[in-house]
Amino acid sequence: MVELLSYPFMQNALLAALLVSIAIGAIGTLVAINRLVFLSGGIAHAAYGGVGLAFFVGISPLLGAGLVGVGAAMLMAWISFHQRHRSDTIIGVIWAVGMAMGVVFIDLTPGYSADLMSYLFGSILAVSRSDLLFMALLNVVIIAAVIGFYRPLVAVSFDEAFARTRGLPVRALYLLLLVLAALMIVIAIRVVGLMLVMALLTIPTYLAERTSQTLVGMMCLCAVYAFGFCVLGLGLSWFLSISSGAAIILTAAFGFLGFLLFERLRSST
Amino acid sequence: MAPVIEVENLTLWRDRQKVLDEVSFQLSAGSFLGVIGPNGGGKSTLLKVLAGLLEADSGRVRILSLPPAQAGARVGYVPQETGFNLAFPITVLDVVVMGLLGQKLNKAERKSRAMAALERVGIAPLASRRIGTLSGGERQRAFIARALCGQPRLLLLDEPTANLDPKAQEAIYTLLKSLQPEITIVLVSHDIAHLIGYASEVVALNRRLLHHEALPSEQIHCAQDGHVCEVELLGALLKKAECG
Repeated sequence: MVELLSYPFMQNALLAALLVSIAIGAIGTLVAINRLVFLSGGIAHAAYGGVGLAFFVGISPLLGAGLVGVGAAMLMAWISFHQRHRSDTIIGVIWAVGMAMGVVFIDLTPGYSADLMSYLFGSILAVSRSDLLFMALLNVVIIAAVIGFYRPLVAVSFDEAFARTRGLPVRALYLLLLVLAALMIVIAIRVVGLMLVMALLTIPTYLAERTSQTLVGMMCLCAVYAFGFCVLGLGLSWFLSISSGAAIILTAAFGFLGFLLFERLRSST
Repeated sequence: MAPVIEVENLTLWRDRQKVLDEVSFQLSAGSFLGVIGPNGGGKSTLLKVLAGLLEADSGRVRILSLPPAQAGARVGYVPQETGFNLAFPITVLDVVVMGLLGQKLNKAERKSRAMAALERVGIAPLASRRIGTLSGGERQRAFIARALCGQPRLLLLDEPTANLDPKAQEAIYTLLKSLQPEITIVLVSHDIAHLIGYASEVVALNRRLLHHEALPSEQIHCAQDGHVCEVELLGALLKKAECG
């Protein structure tokens, strides 16, 4: 086990797991309690189009995912403000179009066959130092924004109408939340991939919601649960020679089932 | 003294329908106004206009001589409880502190003001409990405390006793009555029996129809006798409004 930790790629993987867990704890918590998981899925799949676009124009895939993800977040915020009743349909359209654009851009990229699977299901063992630096930078932005706007974000999340009576810029805060969610998704892409982002957005946040008294407590516990699942899944993928992203999510799913079972047993005694 | 609320010819459209049509009334300081009317009659919409959440398409609305959106902490708003996420991990104290948003206070001052509001509504011992673990009546008290925290002169409440048992409803009305005359109260409710037992004035609202009068004591007494009488009273008020 100690030998495993001596490998630079494993050190990078653990650091990436830590960074993604902090991001999930800080902003995934707000996404989950605002019931924006489906919308975040839309952003994640639109970001996939950004990965394809990045390969096509020759920039970093994470940068491409970030730019397109933030653009999609702004578009979805606008849709939520102006077409609230049809937003689920439009999110579904953006979801599908994002994926299709990603594939088409890769097809159009001359002489290059990108490993798109690594962006669908993650490749935590292939995270580079420059990826880590980019993820750390995004984490700093996310944490600074959450700390700086903590009280207004909580007020808007809990009771939008009351927040408006207190003069809070509700729409701007909603937009901020979606943009931060897009940044968090970009961080998660490298670790668990687009397809599995929603599992990390839902399982650790659900467990934390059930076991926390306050939102700050929920954020911290969520980060701990996410990191625990990442480390266990990583170990599982190493020893069983299976895909790391899928192993992380399955570990989280077992944790989720175990928690439900524990709750059921506790309530029946 | 200027009225706390001045509404003149307020008209508001939503989804191509006139929800409020030429509504006019005034309310003086220290009053307890009950707003009654059928479902879809515009009661909650009127309250949202007064709270600054909706803008009138035409007409003039003033709260303490200011446009509603500028009245700020002078107005406390208690929305309907239906939209809350009760799984939200937040303590009662933190909910009440939200009432101080926009005010420059340090952490100790915020806590002290919030605790004072919780004392006033009688649930200070529940301050550290998670909001979702409270009973319906306790939760309403917490939301009233949040509205009171900013030391408002006008309190707007949208069906605060809906889904509460009779004892809890009585307790909420008694609490609201104790806030008078320091705070002017506007309360939307279907619970006419309780409402007219405590309100000093009543508005009957059905979109474009409005009737506003101080409640005579015999009507209050009559309405407290039972449901049939409540319905009769509402019908009579709406009929008067149609004729007037």
